[in-house]
Amino acid sequence: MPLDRRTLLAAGLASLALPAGGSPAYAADAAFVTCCQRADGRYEAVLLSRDGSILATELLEGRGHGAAISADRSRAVVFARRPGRFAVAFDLARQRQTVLFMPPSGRLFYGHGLFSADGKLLFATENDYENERGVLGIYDATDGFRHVGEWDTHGIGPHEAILMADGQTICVANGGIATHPDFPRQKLNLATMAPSLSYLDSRTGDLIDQAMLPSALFQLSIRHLTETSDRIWFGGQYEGSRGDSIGLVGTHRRGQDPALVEAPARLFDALNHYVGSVASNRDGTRVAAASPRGGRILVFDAKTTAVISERSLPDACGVAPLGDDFLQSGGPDLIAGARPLARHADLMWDNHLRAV
Amino acid sequence: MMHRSVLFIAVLLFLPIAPAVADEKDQAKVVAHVLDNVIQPGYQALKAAAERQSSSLAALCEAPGEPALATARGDFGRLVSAWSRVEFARFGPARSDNRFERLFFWPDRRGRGLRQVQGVIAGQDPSAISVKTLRRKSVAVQGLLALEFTLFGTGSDALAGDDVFRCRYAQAIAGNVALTAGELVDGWTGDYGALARNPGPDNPVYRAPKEVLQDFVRSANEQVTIVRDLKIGAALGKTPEAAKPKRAPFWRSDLTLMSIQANLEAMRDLIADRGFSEVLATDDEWVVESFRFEINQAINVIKALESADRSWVDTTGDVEGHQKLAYVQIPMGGAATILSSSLPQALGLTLGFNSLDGD
Repeated sequence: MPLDRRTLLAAGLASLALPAGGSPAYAADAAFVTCCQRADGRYEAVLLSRDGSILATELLEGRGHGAAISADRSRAVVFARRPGRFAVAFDLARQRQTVLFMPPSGRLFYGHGLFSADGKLLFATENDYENERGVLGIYDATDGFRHVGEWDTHGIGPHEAILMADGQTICVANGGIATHPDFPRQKLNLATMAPSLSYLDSRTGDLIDQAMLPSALFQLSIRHLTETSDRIWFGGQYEGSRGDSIGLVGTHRRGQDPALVEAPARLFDALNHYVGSVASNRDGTRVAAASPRGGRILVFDAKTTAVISERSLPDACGVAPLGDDFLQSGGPDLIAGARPLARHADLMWDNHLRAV
Repeated sequence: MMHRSVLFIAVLLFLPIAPAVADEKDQAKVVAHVLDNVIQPGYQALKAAAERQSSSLAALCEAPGEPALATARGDFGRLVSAWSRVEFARFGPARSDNRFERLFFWPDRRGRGLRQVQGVIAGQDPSAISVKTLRRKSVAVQGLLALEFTLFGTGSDALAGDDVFRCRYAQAIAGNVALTAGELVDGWTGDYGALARNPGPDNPVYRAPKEVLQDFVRSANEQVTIVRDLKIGAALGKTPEAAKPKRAPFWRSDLTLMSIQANLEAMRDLIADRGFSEVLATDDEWVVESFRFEINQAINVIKALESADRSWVDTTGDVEGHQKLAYVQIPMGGAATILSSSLPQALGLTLGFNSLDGD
C-alpha cells in the first residue's frame, strides 16, 4: 500500500512546540501513534511528530483504537476498536504499514495490546466470546505477527493490558463486561460483573496475582491502565445509576487491596462515569485521566494521588506523556500541557495517543 | 487529600457556538413534559399491569382451569406492552440495584436464564415463590422472560391443572415486577426526578436541562438501534432459511411484533409528541417531523405484519415476511440517524466522537 504522507500544519504552530523534555528528536520523527476519523467518515491510523503535525497516515478498514509500541521504538501495532477484527503493524522509521493481521476465528480484538520486552512477541486483549472468557492472544512479531498461542486473562472483558516496568509482568484490566458479536456492543452481564486486575508472567502466562474490586464497586469496569514507580493506576467506566457519585480512578499496589483515589466528588461527577484513557508522564510523577463524556482531564500527583489540575477539553480522550506534562487530544485538537498545539479541523481524534 | 486552592480549570477551548435554540426555560419544559407524560405514566402503567397480572395469577393458582390460564396469559400481553413503552429508559433509577436486568434479562445468548428458570421449576425451589426471597436470586429468574416461560414455555399448560408450584412461582415473579416498577415510579418522582427537574451547577448529574434531553435522545437512539439490529437484524439472518427468530424477545408468547410496535410508538411519543420541536429553531423543526415520518413508516410495516396473523417465528421464515422485516430496518436506520446526529445538532447538544458509547 502506498504511503499517504502529508504535512498539514501551518508553520506558525511550530513555535508552540514545547521544549524537548527527553532526548533530542527530529521534527520528522514519529513521536506519537494515534487514530482518527476523517471528514469523509473513514478511519485512519496516524503517526504524529512532536509538534503535532501529521507525518503519515494509513487508511484502516474500520475504527482504530489503541496502539502497542515496541521497546526499541522501531515498530507500532494499531488495533481495531472492539469488537475488532484487524490490527496493523507499522515500521516507525520508514513510517509505513508493514503487516495487516487478524485474530484467529472465534476471537475478537478488544482494542489494546503490548510487545514483550524483547519485542519478539505481541500480546493482544481478545474476547473468546463463545466461552465468555478473556484471553491474551500471542503473535510472533518476528514472523508476520503469526498467531502462536493465547493465555487466559482470568476474567471477562479484558480491555487495556500493559507491560510493567520490570519487563516481565503483564497487568491486564479485566473490565468484567461480557459482549458477543451476535449483539454488537451490548453489555450482557451488567448484574453480575466482576472486574479485576490480573498480573501475568509474560514468559509463561501464569497468573502471578489478581486484585478484585470490593463488591460495592462491582459495576466499576476497569478499562485503562498506567504504571508509576510503586503502583498501577486504573481508570474505569461505571455501569451503575447516573445518580451515583463514584470515584473513577484508582490505584493498586501488589499485596494490597485496590483503592479509589480520593478527590472532591464534583471532580469525578463531572466525568460522567467514564474515563477513556490514563497515562503517566515521562518521569512518572504525574498521571492524567481523560473523560470524553465529561470533556475533562484530571491530572494527579503520582506520589500523593492528589488532583493537581482539572482541565476542560471537549471530547478529551487521548493522553500521552510529553515531557513533564501530557499531550492530550479531543475532537480535532491536540493540546500540549495546558497550551493548544495543533488543530486538524478535518478530523476527529480517537480515544488513545501512544508516545513512541 | 487534595487542596482545593491548587485546582484550576484551564479552559483550553471554547465549545463551538451552539445553533440558536430556545432558552433553558423551554428546554426544562420539555423535560417536565417527558417526565410527566412519558416516564411517570409509563412506569405507573407497568406497575398496574404487573399488579393485574399478579391478581390473575393468584386467581389461577386458587382455581386452576383453562379460562383462568387464558386470562393470565392475556394479562401477560398487557404487561409486555406496558414494559415495551418504558424499555428505552435504561438510565437513572433503572440502573440502580440491577432493576433493568431484574425486569428484562435480555439478550441471554447462552440461554443461562432459561436453564435457571427450568432449574427453579424442576427443583420446585421454595425460595422462588415468595417475592422477598425471589429477589435475592439471579436476575434471570425474576423478570418478564422468566414469567413468559412459566406462562408459555414447555409444560405451561399444566398451569390449568395441578402445577401449583409453577403457578406460585409465576405469581411471585409478577409481584417482583410490580415491586420493581414501583421502585422505578418512586425513583423518577423522587431523587432522580428531582435531579432531572433541577439541573444546575451544584447538581451532580445534570448541569443544564439540555443534558437531560441528551439522555432521552441518547436512550431513544439506543432503543431504535436495539430494535433494528438486535431484535430484528440478529433474528432475521440473510435468508428466511437462516432466520433465528428465537433471538428476539417474547417469541414464546408470540408478542415479539407487538412489543416492537410498542417500543417504536414509545419513541414517537417521546421524541415527536412531547415538545422537542418547540425548543428547536424554526429552521430545524423539520428534524422532529422527519423523525415522525421515519418512525411511522416503521410502525406501519410492523402493524401490517401483525395483522397478517402469522406468528413471529413463521414471519421470519416466510419470504414475504422476511423481506418486510429487512425493509423495516431502513426507516429505523433513518430514525436512528436523526437521533444520533440531526436532532442533537438541532438541540445544540455536543455528542463527542469518543463519548457516545465508551471504548
